[in-house]
Amino acid sequence: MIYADYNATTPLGEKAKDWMAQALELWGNPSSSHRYGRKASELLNKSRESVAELLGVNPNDIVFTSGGSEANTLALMGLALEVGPGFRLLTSLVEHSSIRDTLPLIEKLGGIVQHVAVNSEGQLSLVALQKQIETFKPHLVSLMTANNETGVIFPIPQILQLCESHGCLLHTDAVQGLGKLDPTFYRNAHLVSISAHKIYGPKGVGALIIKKGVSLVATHYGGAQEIKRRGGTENVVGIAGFGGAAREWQETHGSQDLKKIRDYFETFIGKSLDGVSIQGEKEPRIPNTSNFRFQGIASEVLLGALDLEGIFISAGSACSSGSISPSHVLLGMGFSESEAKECVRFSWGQMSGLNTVEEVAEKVIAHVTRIRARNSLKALSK
Amino acid sequence: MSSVVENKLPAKGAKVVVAMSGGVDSSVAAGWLAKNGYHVIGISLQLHDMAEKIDNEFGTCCSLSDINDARRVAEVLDIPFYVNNMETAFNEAVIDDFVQEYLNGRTPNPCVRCNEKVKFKKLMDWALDLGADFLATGHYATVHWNNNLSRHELHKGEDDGKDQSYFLFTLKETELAKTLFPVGSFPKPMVRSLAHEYGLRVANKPDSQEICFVQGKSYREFIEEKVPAEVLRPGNFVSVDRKILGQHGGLHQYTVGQRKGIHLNSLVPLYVLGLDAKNNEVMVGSETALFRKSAIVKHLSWINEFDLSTSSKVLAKIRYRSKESPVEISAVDSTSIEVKFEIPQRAITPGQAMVFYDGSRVLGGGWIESLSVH
Repeated sequence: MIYADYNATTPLGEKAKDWMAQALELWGNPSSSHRYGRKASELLNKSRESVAELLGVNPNDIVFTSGGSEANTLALMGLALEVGPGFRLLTSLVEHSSIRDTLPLIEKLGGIVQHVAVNSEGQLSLVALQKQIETFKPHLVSLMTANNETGVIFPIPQILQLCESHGCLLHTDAVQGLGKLDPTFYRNAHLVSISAHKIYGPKGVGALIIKKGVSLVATHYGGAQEIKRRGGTENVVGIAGFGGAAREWQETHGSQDLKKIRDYFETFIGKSLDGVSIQGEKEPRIPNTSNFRFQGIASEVLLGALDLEGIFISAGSACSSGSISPSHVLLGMGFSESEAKECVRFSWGQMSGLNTVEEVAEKVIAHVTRIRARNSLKALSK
Repeated sequence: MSSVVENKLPAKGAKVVVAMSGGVDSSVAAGWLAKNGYHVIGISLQLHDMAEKIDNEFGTCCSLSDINDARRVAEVLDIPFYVNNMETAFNEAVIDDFVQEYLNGRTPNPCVRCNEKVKFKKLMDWALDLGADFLATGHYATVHWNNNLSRHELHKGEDDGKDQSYFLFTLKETELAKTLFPVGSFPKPMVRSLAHEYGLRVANKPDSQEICFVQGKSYREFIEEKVPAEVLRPGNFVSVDRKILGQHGGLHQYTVGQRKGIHLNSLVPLYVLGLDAKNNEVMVGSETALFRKSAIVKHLSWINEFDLSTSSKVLAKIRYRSKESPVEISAVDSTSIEVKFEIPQRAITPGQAMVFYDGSRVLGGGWIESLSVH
């Protein structure tokens, strides 16, 4: 089995498991004032510090959530509710669906949403962004650090500068940035979303980092947890797992050259196949992600054929039935539906090495060649 | 010894994609193949937008809960499972045609179209692209290998009450060679008991009766949702001698043989005899006038090679739920034939498929164009 879908999720790391095992024993409610409560609270705060340390942010700025999606929703909805009707939000067409699907709700609350365009490589223009900020005067700009499908990185430091000089806030969905980019690149945004399971932590836990001075309305109620920014008894086991994963990542990160592996893979395929393109190739990308288009090959077919051989990749986004819909990210970059349906994503991580990517490349080349041969036979017989 | 191998099955180890609807038949087809040494890959088709169809536990074909049922079956059988979105192809090849046929005053058969254009075309393609050797479905039909003639043949399912070969007449021999119908040789009760044996929760799921995309509503309502109201305009009921008898509410509400919805004063019960799209007329008359002996059939498709001049005496079936009846067929021109029945048939309906049989073997068929004057 070869796993090449690390942008979807990662396996649970050893430290994450250790810390979660501890949490399973400390079953007290962190809000309780007795010793059991204090013990649970201690682990919770140790985890908070561990995540804060990995990023280099203040632990008090961290609000744990049920994941990156909730963090994104909290950032957008929290600010929309804080500002009230007339709230202006500037975002892009290639954001994660947890951003995209919150937009109608914001409009329902009397908010106004505008999109900044991206080019066919998935990159935005800072000049155009500046103009749009000047004319639209948004309260909040929400732009992702790195795209989950293409890996393309938005210039967050420059965007932050633009926002600050125009008096608006910046939220960045850094779920794919965490662990793949130096945190100084994205951590200074006013609001930052992260998720545990992209750095070998458990699923179901993430955080929104809310910088001091930024106030927003909570979207979960039921207690004073997370300094009243996220009510409800904390997911102590999950948060401990996040803490453990953050600690492990801090101790080991950088030990693996994913860019070398990814580039080897891209070169290997590029020199063996025609009719291939890599989305965002010319732009800065996170080091582990390749989004390939193989002309004439439906992504569902390639995904299935590789899955049957024990190679796991992804494409597009799963719809409610489980079928693959054309990616809104690629459509946002100007791809047609049929072009978008030929794109697949490979994302590498801990268990990837030069030999594994070579095996994947060989299988991909074999399937693409076989299916294209079948297609040209079919075309001939017509 | 017979040289015809009934319901041929390939050597164990073959890679088979099974089209899984979430119903008991295709679930058992997948289960039987998986338990008998084949590499089975389950696939469900998403054919239309399913957002609003989650509520019922046992819906009919292709609702979201059916896909979940299929997924659950695949999990229990421990086979890979994918959902493939063929909404666009289904819309173009099946739904648009369905609506257009009603507007043309004909009564379409979308299941045949779906088999022809989606399942045994797009899905077959997908399966072969995936590297599979065969596509299997849960149809009650059988594929025979005829050794004498070196050919694959399509035959009826063993369970006469469940036979679905009618819906498969558009298959070509080359497609049949790559098709398996694992439950085609089982009686229905055995299929249900196999489902129990395999531990599948769909064992008691009722059979689907409706057309998948119009479930929960009438065809009339479906057409009315799809087509602007001004297209579905009222017109005249006319008698056989073309006397105007009254007003009808739109051609799409009627099909040949129908008795309901004709609100006219008459001493004898009136039935729809025919629909005339050009004049927007519904012709009505007595039930005896419904019995006719001949029809023109077009868009013919033969499974194996078929020579009209040597095999003119065959059996024909005018709709899924009618019995085969002896006919004589003769060419009208290069694209159409005339079919003459020995016994008059009730409500021969333009738009329906006419399927021809030689005993249990399906010869092929075509689409009923019109009734002929004979």
